[in-house]
Amino acid sequence: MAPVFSLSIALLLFSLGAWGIGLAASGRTLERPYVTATLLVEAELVIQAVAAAAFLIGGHRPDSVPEFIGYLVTSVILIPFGLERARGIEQTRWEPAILGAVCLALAVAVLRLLSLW
Amino acid sequence: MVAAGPGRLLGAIYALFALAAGARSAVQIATKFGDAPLAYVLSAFAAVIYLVAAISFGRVSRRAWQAALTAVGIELMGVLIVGTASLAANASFPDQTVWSNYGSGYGFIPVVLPVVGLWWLLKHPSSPHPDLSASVPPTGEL
Repeated sequence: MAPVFSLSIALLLFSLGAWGIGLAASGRTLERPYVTATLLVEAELVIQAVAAAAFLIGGHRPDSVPEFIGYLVTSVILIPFGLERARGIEQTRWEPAILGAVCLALAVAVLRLLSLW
Repeated sequence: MVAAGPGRLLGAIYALFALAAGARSAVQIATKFGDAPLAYVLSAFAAVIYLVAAISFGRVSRRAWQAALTAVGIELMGVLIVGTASLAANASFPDQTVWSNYGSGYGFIPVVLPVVGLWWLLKHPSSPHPDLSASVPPTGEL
C-alpha cells in the first residue's frame, strides 16, 4: 500500500468531511458535485483495498491482520452506507452533514490502516 | 417513515460507533480475550447499545423514542462509570475500550454524543413526528 496514495485519500476525506459540514452549516442540501466527489474518493478507496489485498495475498503481514482486514472492509463500505443514509425523502441540510460525518470517520479509518501497514 | 434530519445524523453517527466498537471488540475477543476480558466485554456491550441507538434514532414512533432514550441513558452512565473507573483503576483496563478515559481514544465523541442525543430526545418528547420539515418554516431549509 503506497503511503502517499493512502495519505492523499485521508486528506481528501478530511476535506470532504469539511465540505459536507460546510454545506450543512450554510443550509444547503446534498449537491451534485459533492456526491460526485464522494463517489470519486470511493473509487480510490476500492483501488487501495484491491492493492492492499494483493499485497496480503503476496505475503505482506500488517501489525494485526484481523484488524487490518476489518478496517479495509470498512473503508470500502462506508461511503455507500452514507449515501444510502443520506437519501432522504426530503432533502435538507442534514444529508450533507451525514455524508460529511461518514467522510471524517473514513479519514480516521484510512489513517489507522496506514499505521497498521 | 424517515425522521427529521438531526435525528438521522445522530443515527448515522451511532451506526459508525456500533461498527467501530463492534468490530474492535470482535477482533479483541477472538484473538486475545484473556488479556483484558472486562474491557473487551464492555466494548461488545457498548457496541450493542450503539446499535440500539443507531436503529432507534431517525425512526418515528413512541417505542423508537423510548428505546433511543434507554440506549442513550445507558450510554451516558457507561461512559461516565467506565471513564472514571479507567482513570482510577488502570490495571483493569490494560487495553482501551470506547468508553475508557471518557472516550479520549475517539476524540471524546463517546461522552459528547449521549449528551447531544439526550438533548435532542428531550427537546422532541412528543413523538411521532413533531419535527418533520412540514412543521418547520421552510426558510433556509431549501
